[in-house]
Amino acid sequence: MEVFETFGLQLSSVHKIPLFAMPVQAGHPITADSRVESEIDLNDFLIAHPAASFFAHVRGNNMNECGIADGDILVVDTSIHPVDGKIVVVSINNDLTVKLYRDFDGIVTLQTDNERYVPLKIEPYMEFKIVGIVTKVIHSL
Amino acid sequence: MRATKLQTLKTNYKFEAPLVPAMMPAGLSDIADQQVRLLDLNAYLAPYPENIFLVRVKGESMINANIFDGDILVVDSREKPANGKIVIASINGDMAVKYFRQNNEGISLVSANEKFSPIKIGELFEFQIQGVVKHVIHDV
Repeated sequence: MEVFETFGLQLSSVHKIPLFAMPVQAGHPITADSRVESEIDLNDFLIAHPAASFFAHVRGNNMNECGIADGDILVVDTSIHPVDGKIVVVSINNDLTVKLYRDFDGIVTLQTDNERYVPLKIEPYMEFKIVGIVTKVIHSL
Repeated sequence: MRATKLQTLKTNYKFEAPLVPAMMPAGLSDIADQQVRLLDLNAYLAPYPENIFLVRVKGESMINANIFDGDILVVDSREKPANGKIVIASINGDMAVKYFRQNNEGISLVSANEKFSPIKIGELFEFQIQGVVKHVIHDV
């Protein structure tokens, strides 16, 4: 799965959005007079570290098992260290790709769905860099 | 799969996310697009914020549609449900996330998980479509 577009983000002013308590009641349109529980900011909600994050627009189908589909937009956080099982954006020869990061006792491999059994093993001579960790997947229907 | 309403979006604000090279995280600016690109998260997720609400899903009845337990759905409350769309419906007081299917025999709500049977909407049901799911956000 490749990243074909990236978007940075800028810290803008804080905008509060009301958080409604939802009374689950039959027949009540849930957008009507619900009670405001608290107010949250959509940026805070989706982006933990705005100064260290960017968006990646991806294409390809080899990360479907990880819940990432063709055309999705990923929130990528560059301030988090990868751990086993995380999905990462990797720069390999200046191309950005999306991989599953596996770390078995210090042996790091990068996988996609179709590399489950022949994963890419990271060797010292390889030109690659883990750019960030995928924290959110935005899938549009 | 049940849904819990999380929040309603407030109108009149914009979050613009331009690609500013100086703002790009260190190490990325050399490989990222040099062009300034804008991504307005609100315009993208909630073009008509007054019609939009968010729900957090619970359950696994929509896993084959890539909707997992704990995901956040961005829902448009004004969009008319069309055949095959994923909708938030209230059925006898419970909120559910389902495919909306309509044919000569009426309306049914279908899960994306073979373990769950379709729900045929009959006269006995108190039933209302709350909105059409536009975006799915999940943690990875």
